[in-house]
Amino acid sequence: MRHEAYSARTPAERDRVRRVNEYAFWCLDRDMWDEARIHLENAVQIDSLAASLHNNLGIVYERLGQRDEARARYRTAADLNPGRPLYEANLQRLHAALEQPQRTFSDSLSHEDLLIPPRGDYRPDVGAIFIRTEGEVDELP
Amino acid sequence: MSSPEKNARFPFVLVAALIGLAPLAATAQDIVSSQLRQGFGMNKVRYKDFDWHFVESEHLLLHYEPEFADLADRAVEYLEEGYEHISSLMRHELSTKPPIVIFKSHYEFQQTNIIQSFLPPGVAGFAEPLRYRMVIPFSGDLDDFRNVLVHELMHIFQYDIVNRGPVKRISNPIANPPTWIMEGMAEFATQESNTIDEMVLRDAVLTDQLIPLEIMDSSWNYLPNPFLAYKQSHSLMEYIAANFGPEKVSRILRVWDSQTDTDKLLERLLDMDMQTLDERWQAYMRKKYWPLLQDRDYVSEFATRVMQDDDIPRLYMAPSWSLGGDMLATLSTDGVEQHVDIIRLSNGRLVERLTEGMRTEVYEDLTFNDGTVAWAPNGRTIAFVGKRGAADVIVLWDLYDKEIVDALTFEDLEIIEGFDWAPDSRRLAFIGTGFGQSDVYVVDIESGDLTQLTGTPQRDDQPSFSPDGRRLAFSSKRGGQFDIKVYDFDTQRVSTLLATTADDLWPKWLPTGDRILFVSTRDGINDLFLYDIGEDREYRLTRTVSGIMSPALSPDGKQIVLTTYYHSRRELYRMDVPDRFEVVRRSDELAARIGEPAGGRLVHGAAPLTVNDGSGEEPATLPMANVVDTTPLLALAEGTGARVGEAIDRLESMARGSEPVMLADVREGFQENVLPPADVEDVGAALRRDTAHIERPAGDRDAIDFDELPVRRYTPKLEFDGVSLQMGYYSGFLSGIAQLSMSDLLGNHSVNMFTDYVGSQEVTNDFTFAVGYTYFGRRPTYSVSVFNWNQYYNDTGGSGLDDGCPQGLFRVGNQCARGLVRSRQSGLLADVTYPLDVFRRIELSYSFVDEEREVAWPVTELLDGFSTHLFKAAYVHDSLRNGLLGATAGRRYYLSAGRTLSLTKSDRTFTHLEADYRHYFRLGRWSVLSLRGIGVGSLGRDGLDYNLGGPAWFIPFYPGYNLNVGPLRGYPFSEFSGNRVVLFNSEIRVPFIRNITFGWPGTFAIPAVDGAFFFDVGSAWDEDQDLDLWPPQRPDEIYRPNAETRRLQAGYGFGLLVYFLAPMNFEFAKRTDFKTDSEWHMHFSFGKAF
Repeated sequence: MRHEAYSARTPAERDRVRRVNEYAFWCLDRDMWDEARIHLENAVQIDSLAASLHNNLGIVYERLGQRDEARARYRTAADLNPGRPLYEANLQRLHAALEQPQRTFSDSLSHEDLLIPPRGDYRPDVGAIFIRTEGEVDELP
Repeated sequence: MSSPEKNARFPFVLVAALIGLAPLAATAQDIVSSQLRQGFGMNKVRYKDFDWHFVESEHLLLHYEPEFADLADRAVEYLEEGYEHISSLMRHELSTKPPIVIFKSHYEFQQTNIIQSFLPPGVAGFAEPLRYRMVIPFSGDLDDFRNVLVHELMHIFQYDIVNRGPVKRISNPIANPPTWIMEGMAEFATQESNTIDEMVLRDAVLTDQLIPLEIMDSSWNYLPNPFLAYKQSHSLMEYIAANFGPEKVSRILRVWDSQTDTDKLLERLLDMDMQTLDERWQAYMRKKYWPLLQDRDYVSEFATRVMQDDDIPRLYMAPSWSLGGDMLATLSTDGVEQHVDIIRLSNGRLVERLTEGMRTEVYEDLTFNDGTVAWAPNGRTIAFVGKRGAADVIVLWDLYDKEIVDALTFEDLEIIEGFDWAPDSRRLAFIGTGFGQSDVYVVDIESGDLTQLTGTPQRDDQPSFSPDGRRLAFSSKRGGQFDIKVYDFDTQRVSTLLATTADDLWPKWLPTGDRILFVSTRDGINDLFLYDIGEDREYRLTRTVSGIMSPALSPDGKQIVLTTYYHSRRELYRMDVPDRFEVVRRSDELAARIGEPAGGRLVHGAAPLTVNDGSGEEPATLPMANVVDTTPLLALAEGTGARVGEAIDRLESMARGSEPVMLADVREGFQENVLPPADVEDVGAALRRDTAHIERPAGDRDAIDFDELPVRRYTPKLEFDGVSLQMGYYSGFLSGIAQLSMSDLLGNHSVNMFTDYVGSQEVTNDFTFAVGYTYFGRRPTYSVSVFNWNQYYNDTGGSGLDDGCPQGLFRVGNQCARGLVRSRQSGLLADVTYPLDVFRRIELSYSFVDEEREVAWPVTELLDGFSTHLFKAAYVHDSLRNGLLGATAGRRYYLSAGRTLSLTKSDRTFTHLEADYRHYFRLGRWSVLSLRGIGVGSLGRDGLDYNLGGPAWFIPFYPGYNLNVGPLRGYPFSEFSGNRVVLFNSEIRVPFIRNITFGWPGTFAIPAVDGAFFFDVGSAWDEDQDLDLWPPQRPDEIYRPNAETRRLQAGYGFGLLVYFLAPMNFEFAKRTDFKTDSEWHMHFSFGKAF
């Protein structure tokens, strides 16, 4: 059902999501996590079905040490778009990190980790922020 | 009008004057070539066709437009009051009624032709001694307007006293007293000093930055902080008046009449020299301000400086928070360029620059005022103000797209400032100035609908939306002071929230909606206060030494960025907003320092209001004019908008019963204008119409009935601007030069006449003249001139006879002498210049010159004669920022094409093509990389020869300088010539010295010394020659003009550029072919670097 609703989203809506994600990346690139958080939060309020927004918000929360909120966002992203392994992987990685209490989340996720590999790509051992929503993303066939 | 800044009104006259003084040059100056000479400079664009009228009052003639007759009414009143005041002070009556011209905005003021130079935004008005004309724009604040009028009127009095009437001469004016005396007296006459002025002066005293009087006396034009110099001058004059009597102020000019040395003047006037006066005044200032440190804080004691030190100190204004609180959008300038920047709050570093260049397609310049940058609550849109044409434009920049997405302009609104976004990020409140007054407006940025909220002649400022967007707080001037008022969008009513005996400014709603931060000038220093609406109680949050301006509240309401003035510059600081408990604690602690009661101050209750004027005396207790009962305070918790509204309503009714406007005002005789409720859609138009009929508040008496004064439409009449007479003797020639300038009062019509009678033992009765007329009254500028011009130069042909004299000489009696050739050129020049905007223009011209050359002595023999009909078109772009020694940023280019019309065989025929491009890249704060490429071709049978070689600018009296394309350093001046020229210049200029003052002999300043490293390469060749690009000419190779092949010439070197009265260049260069170099060659020249 969600996939059907998602595929019905307009190009303008998808473009809006892309812009917010790009701006969030721009903020993270400059280590401005609060700025990214509030823009992603506002965007999620407007478009709660955009999985990439939830995923990226989860990453920001995780970096800010709000792990419960991060987990919820990863979970939502994975539910919204189960066909995209990135979101589930972020969730699993967070779960794994939670099982290592000696590491704080700010230790486990550095800014550099988040930005390597480049945006849009996925590497299982680190969180990856997701930027591009055009084409294959979110809108499942 | 489109007078390029650097173009003379009658350039031909200047050219002619110079060449007229060079009777023994090697060749005559070709006037046609002066028409081909390129002219850069920005344009003064005449956007509007003005409809001038004037009214004659007892002491003055005021020129205005009927559309702002209200403003004219007030101006007459202010000026007549000012006249009485100054006349009494100076014990002098003006010898003539000064013509005064007022404009309703600075952008219209910039279009005046009374002064030809470009008027930058900082110029508040001017007065000139030739015809006593005063030109003043309305700034948006009537009090400021009055102050400028009185200030400039004082200058007219000064001119009248010193010069004993209008100066009617172009050259050799009578020296005025030093500027600090002139400006100090003018400021003294206004009797106004606001807390910002005081802030600057106080900072200079406390940080030991005062400018020595000796420096102000000798080097006023080069002072790094002229604003401080004005304030010091004002304070000095107040000190003289207070300690020696006000009559000393009026006596200064009369003593100056007989004693023009400042030291001696002061000794005669005050019985002390300049240094002693300065020491005593500084001691007085220290005693006045140092005690403030006992109970006041530096801002750095409770707030964190935002900016880190960097190589280029910048000034930041109008900070506005990002949504997440990590960044600030702000105006910034380093003194050369202005930008809108996003900076990182944690370290002050630049994150993003919104303005790629200083101008774009959307705007041609940035407006640099408080409140002209605002970040929308949606976190995405940043609004800032640019100038386009003759009005401001609101520019909307999108953070996601990183580009300008929209621009809004409004008919009749010229100045826009004081932004604040509504919480919905759709409505934008601002202060708009148009038709002679400033009011609060709100624009819907999606629909473009504009609503005018207030409509009074007094200044409104600094709007701030309530968190629910239903109210708008703003500061509003009544009775000479700013109160804080609230506009209710539901009821369309304005009510007063805070009205004290001080200015209450910059209201900012806290997110809870029940408290307002604001700045107040209690005790004469701007400090931060918090007004709790529910408690009806205000709390002092700061007690600073330096003062606070423009607080910007973070979106979550937890932090403030504020501006203070410290060490002679504006600085941004960040502080936390205290919570409710901390507010009370801090307020109590600050009150305890000076023995005031704790618990804040009940604003509208019965508690007396204490006022301390900062003089250190006991605070005075003023009775409340409208005593209200001591009803228990409204107990609002976390207030919603509705509850705050309820609170305000209740406060209003407490104060005025059923009159919902004024709460309490302690000023005597104060009355409030009540704005009637108006239909929302029509409120703007209604308010505009009402402005003409708004009654004056009591105390703001209208002493002069403007309607009874005779009003007439302005008709231009030519009057003398001045006459200049000069006599000269050069190499046997006696030259008598007369120049006469006439223009109408508004400067739209200009006539220049120039004559030169040249005589010698050999030549007499040569009458040279030029008459030019220029019309500046429309956007295109029209200019026409006719002339008959004689020049003399040495004959090189000689008699050609075997008369015993060497070749080239004539026999005259028993001697051999060089003959004289007369060149007579007569004709007509016509130009039309059309400015596309401030930076770009199109020029069209037609020139007809008929020239005859004859041997005038010792025989009379016609050599040749020819005529030229030249049509030329040019496109000029100039967006340079200029420094004292040359351009500091920007670019300029010039494209022109010309063609002669050949009607007879004796007509010259050629085609002129020219392209000149220059770009100036900034390297750090002051260093500049200058690049220039130019190509000129004069093609055809009679192509003109252009010169190349030597420094960039002319050496006085050298003929043909205006055909020197230069610079090509390392070579003699104009060594190369040809009707085709290419040249490339590069130069790096680095600052060596800024503002160095010498104490011997006498006190004088050298404001700038730069070093330069340069490389030039170019060549000049003729149509029948080839240009061989490589290798360049060898340094030791002798130049052969007639060789079949010309080579490139190259030179490099270094220079010392010194500004002392004028730019002077000492350059040392070597010729090079990139294998070998020549010896050093030295050049000296005047003028700015290319």
